[in-house]
Amino acid sequence: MKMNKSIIALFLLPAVLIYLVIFLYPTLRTLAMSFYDIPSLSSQFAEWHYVGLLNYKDLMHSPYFVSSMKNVLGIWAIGGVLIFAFAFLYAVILASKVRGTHFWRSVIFLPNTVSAVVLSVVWLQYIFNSSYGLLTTVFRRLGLTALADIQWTDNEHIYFSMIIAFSFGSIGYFMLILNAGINRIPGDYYEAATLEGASQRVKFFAITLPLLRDVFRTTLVLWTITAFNFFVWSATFGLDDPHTVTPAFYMYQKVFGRGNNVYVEDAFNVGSGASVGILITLATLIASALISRLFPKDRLEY
Amino acid sequence: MNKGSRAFATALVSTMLAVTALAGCGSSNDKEHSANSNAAANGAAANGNAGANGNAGANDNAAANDAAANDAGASGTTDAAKLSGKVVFWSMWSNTEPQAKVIDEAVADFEAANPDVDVEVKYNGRDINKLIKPALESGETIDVFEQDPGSALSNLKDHVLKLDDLLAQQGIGSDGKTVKDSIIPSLLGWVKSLAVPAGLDEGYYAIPQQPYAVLFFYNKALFQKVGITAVPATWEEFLADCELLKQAGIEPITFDDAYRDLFIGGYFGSAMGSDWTDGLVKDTTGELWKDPIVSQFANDMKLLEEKGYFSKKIAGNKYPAGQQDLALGKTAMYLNGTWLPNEIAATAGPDFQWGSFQFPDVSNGNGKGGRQGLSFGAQGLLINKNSKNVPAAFELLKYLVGKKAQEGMASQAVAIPATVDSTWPAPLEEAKVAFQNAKSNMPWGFGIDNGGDFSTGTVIPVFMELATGKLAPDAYVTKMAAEAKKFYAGK
Repeated sequence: MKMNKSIIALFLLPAVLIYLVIFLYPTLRTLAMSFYDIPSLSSQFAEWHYVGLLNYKDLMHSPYFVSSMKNVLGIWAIGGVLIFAFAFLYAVILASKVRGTHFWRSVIFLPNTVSAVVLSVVWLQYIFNSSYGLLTTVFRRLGLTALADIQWTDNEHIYFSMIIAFSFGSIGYFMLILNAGINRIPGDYYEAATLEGASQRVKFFAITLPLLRDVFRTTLVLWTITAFNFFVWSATFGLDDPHTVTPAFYMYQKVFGRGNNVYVEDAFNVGSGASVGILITLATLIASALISRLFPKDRLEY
Repeated sequence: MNKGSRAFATALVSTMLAVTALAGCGSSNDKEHSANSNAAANGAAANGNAGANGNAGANDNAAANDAAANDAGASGTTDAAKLSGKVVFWSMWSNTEPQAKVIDEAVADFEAANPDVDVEVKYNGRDINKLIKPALESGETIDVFEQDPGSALSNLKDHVLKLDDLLAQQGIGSDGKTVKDSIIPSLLGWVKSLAVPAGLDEGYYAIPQQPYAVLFFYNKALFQKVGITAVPATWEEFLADCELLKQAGIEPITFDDAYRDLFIGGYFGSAMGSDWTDGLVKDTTGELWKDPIVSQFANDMKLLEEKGYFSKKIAGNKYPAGQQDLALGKTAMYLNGTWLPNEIAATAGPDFQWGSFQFPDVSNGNGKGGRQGLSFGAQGLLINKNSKNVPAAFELLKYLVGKKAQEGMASQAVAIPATVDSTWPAPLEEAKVAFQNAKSNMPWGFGIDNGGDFSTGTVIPVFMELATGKLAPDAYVTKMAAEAKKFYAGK
């Protein structure tokens, strides 16, 4: 049946309108805000003060913001490797029909159901704590005093401690997507390979990985978005420590203030926060484009 | 109107005009030198030794206002019975906290005296800090609300009502004193000093309550055990006490990540005052970091680290891990706000003997620091500028800062009463000395946080390198000077 073009437009209209109102308008407004100095989130337009690219220039000059960008790239890379290594491992193990698949899958996914704030308190106060934390206690029992004495949350370690704690909570989510992708691959391929005498390793690299490319590409984009918007863990782990601050948390500080007092000159600049938001959006778009370039989308039919 | 009273009215009007003119002069002077925080000095001085610097004028002013209010019977001063309608109060406490109970009692008293007024209290807890601004901006009915005056005046300045008239009214249960005279003067002076830097007209926009000060809190039992009888007044005495504690196997000092700034600021504030410290973190050339006092600071911190006076755990302490060490008797001292005894009461237990002292005097300073400057503040009660029921809101506010409610806060919530002549809670008895010493207010962090991103991104982490022995004192000075220059290069 051939549909009238105007009917198509009519059916699309609600979705397009909603998209324009709740996505495009805020984005454009944020873009506009990033060129102004704005004293508060709800300031009237009359209170906005046009500063051109100054907000962006200031950001580039602030070592605090620059370190936040370095931090987030590190989180993306290190956290990405950690998460995907474990997520793949667990997904493959679960797909191989071990006993109690459902149970293990639930266990691995469990940390995702706990609020990030609660998880970070657990890690900070019960695992990394240097007097009665899990790590200290275990290492001391084992007689490894050098390891037991490590301050897991000091300036040198807090960044990696945060990545480990965060990755722990995120593995389950990506494992679930990858596992679903693996289960979709028809069993015939594996049977044929088994008959030909292929090992588990060969089957993983020659069948699972190539057929999982599309799913992996999607999860990678998802991970990139998650990593670039890394926020809660930065706030709970470091407060405003430059070793753990990320652009998203920096944006929050700029927009909502940071325990400010009247004597701090740059306590509030919503415009600067908006610039950070725009930079995060741009970075996400560029990263997604790069990922699409690296993993071209050729539909695999099976 | 007969001749006599007309003459009186004329005299009154001319007195008031004169006083206003004087106050005008005062305020313009104030503006000149209150770019920072010293305006509070005036208020604090009024504490007892008046006449120091033009306070007489301020007192006259209050008296004149008072007289005017009584004479003209203005603005619903005492006719409480006439009040009616509804008052909505947004509190910063949650209804499980002891403070809420005290507020409930005050509201009950208010409603008993004003049967026609219906009070609605919303206990927001500290979520109020996120909720209040959007709520006020969207026009929600809120008459009275609680906020930290510093952040309220900078964030909500379009929503706050000037309360000067209220302060001239008679307080509740204050033995005939005005509200103004019933509240600790240094607190009122401080609240007043915030208005102009925030871009408001000079005046009072918040009634202070729940005052706090930043002090060293210590475990008295541990001090007594090692034979320390008096609190340290100077840095040298402080070091000697640390040595005694250390030799007895007690960790002298600890702090948490959330309060790292206090230790740096405390030292500089004590040596040079908070205006200098403010200038230090805002110095665009980096030259100020080469001042001998910075080098002295760096060497003193190295000493604390080398001798083991700092707990080894300061590097990794995540709030509240460090303050738990104090509560558990592992560490002797912790620099914090006066809310600490209440905050860790559950771990410390009822038998914990609390003591407190001001940051000890550091030598070779510029004479502007010392114990006359105190980093103190308070929570505040504010009235919405757009309140539809200002007279009733005024009246409710008077009950909340009345003597009975304030003493309730002291006895039930280990809070300092904002009213004068009230009994302080036992764990904070020694903190009273600091409030009496205070002549000028230093902002939170003694000014060290005023550099914004520079403070959080550079000052505090580089201090941690110093305090954990990873950076030598000379290297600290060089690094800070270079970092400051680099940070401000683009500005």
